[in-house]
Amino acid sequence: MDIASAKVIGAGIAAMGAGFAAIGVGIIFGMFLQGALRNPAAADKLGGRLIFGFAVTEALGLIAAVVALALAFS
Amino acid sequence: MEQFDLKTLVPLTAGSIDVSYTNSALWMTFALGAVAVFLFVGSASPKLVPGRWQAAVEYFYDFVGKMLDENVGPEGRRYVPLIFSIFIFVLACNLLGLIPFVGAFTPTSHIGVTFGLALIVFVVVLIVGLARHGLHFFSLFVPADTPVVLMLIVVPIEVVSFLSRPFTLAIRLFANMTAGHVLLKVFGGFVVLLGSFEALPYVFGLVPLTVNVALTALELLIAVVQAYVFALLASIYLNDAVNLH
Repeated sequence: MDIASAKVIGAGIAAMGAGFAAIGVGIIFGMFLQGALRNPAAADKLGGRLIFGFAVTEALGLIAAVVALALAFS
Repeated sequence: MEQFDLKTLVPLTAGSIDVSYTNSALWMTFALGAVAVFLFVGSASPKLVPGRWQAAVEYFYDFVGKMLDENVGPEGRRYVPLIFSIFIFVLACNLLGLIPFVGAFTPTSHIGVTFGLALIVFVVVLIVGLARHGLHFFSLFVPADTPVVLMLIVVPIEVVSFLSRPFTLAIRLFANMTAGHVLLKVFGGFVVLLGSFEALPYVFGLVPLTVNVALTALELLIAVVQAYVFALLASIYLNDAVNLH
């Protein structure tokens, strides 16, 4: 297998990391919704933590996507 | 991918170092100008009951001030200039890159720019921590009450995680901006591809165009959120330096 096709296959495998990050983001938002349903009064104070948790989880998924792009287009 | 190309506009050298004025520097200047206009005009003739522009400027200041109060505590107010500058600069750079038609360039989509900002945060955290606590600063890596045997494993892990902070800060911002713009370009390509169907031109291009509109809204949100997260993480790292545990 030559290096060019190996790179493209590697890019495809690396892009699967974005799917795992999507699961993580879903967990974050689901837990927030669960907590907000139990204690609606305290939900507004948690909003900042929600956005923060989403951003750091999404970052890992995007790192996988950037690795995939770097492999596919180099 | 050529939307991320660095073009030199004015070639300059300082000795043997290339310090040309590039399109990245141009758009950072625009960001600086936008922020300067926003802040100076907003606080030009301050009133006790603020008008809309002044209220907007006060909102940004209070936002950063509250973030530092919550995350660092009462001594957080000394770091408001740093965190405010980082927050509003990253916000302006992220947002200006989304302007269509004018050939906008997102300075924060380059790892060089984001790593520079992350390094500023990291070095300030180190200097503040060492200046305040001296060598006791390194007790940050030893969680309280760990048995000595566990410390041999935990301390290297803590050190590595501390040293990875500038990298994760930089990569998070750079990857978000780059991936967003690449996605916009890919769907833009689909608009042209589907719209050039000869039998029925333009109609099928409306579907990816709608997706592109939604993606632009998402990118606006992500631009703001990433600036907020950068500043929030910077204040959390400052908290680690200022109040060790």
